[in-house]
Amino acid sequence: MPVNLSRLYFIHITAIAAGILSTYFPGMDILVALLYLLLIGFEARRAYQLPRWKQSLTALIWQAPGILWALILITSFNLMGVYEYAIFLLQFWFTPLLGVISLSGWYFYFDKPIYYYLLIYLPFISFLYYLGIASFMYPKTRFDFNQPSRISFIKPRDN
Amino acid sequence: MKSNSKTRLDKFALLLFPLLALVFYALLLNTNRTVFENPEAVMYLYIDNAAKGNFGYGNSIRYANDISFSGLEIGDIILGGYPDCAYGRFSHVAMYVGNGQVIEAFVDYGVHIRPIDHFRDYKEVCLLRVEAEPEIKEKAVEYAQSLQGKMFYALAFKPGERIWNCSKLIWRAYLEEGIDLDPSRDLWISPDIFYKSEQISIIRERGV
Repeated sequence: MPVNLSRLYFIHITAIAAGILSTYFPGMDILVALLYLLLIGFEARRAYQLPRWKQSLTALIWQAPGILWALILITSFNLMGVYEYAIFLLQFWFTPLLGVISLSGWYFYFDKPIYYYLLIYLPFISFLYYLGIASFMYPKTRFDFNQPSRISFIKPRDN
Repeated sequence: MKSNSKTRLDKFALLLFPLLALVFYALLLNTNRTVFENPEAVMYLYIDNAAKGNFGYGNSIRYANDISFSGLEIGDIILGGYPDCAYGRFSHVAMYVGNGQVIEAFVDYGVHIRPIDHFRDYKEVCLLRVEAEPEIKEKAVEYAQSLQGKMFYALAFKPGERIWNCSKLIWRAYLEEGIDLDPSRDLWISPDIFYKSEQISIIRERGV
């Protein structure tokens, strides 16, 4: 689990750097966002052998900063004076997905653009995205008995 | 064989974004070498201030300044700033659209129209007039209004039309009408640039 988590953080933080720089080249930010979704999906797929609780914990710790800032915004709780900056921090955290989020413009709901609500829900959506793939998308080698698998208790019959 | 390709894929997954970031940085550097060599560029100002412990737009308490907004014309620019702002004297900029309203870009609202009164909250405030024909100013306002709902991102670079910040919105609105209010050719625009622009006159200001 620590390996999975370290990999997730490394990918996420380097994707933030790539995401910021990509916005200088319009369109590249969308490519970064798609690659990010693909890589997170790939990482989730790598975690298929972990028990469900470890998969959940990995996803939870990975999205902990986002969840914290989203909860501060939802509850208006000014934790250590962060409330005012929470939306900036949340947006910065989701820089890798900026290209996709920015496509949600033109719509307002209760005086705020859709992307504002999207940002608040994204930590939870990311959590479910990771968990969904980790739990339900097994790799093709699921019946490879040399590979660790949750269904490895099924052994080949001796003939 | 399979596990070899899996290991390679594992490594590739980790290397993809650092490599992409390097490629983007190299392209950025190559096309903007003069900006990187300019010690007065916005990014260096930000880094200097960050080193002093100043991040973001400063101490945002309500200062209730007493500036008068009377006599403002459509297309006038309003600057606001809090103490210890990381990117200059002013942290925010908007454009007057008439009827006591301004168009601006802010993180919670994206590009939107809002009453001008919130500029009373700033400690530093300045009203500017662009030296241009009223028709040009009206067209600049129309352009800015056509962007309502677009996304705000604090680090929005000059190129692109999906991601905006307050300064880029005003700069671009006038640029569409052939008026470049930024003589610095920087990667980003900061509100202070409007204050320094030669195509602008100061109507009145409060603060330092």
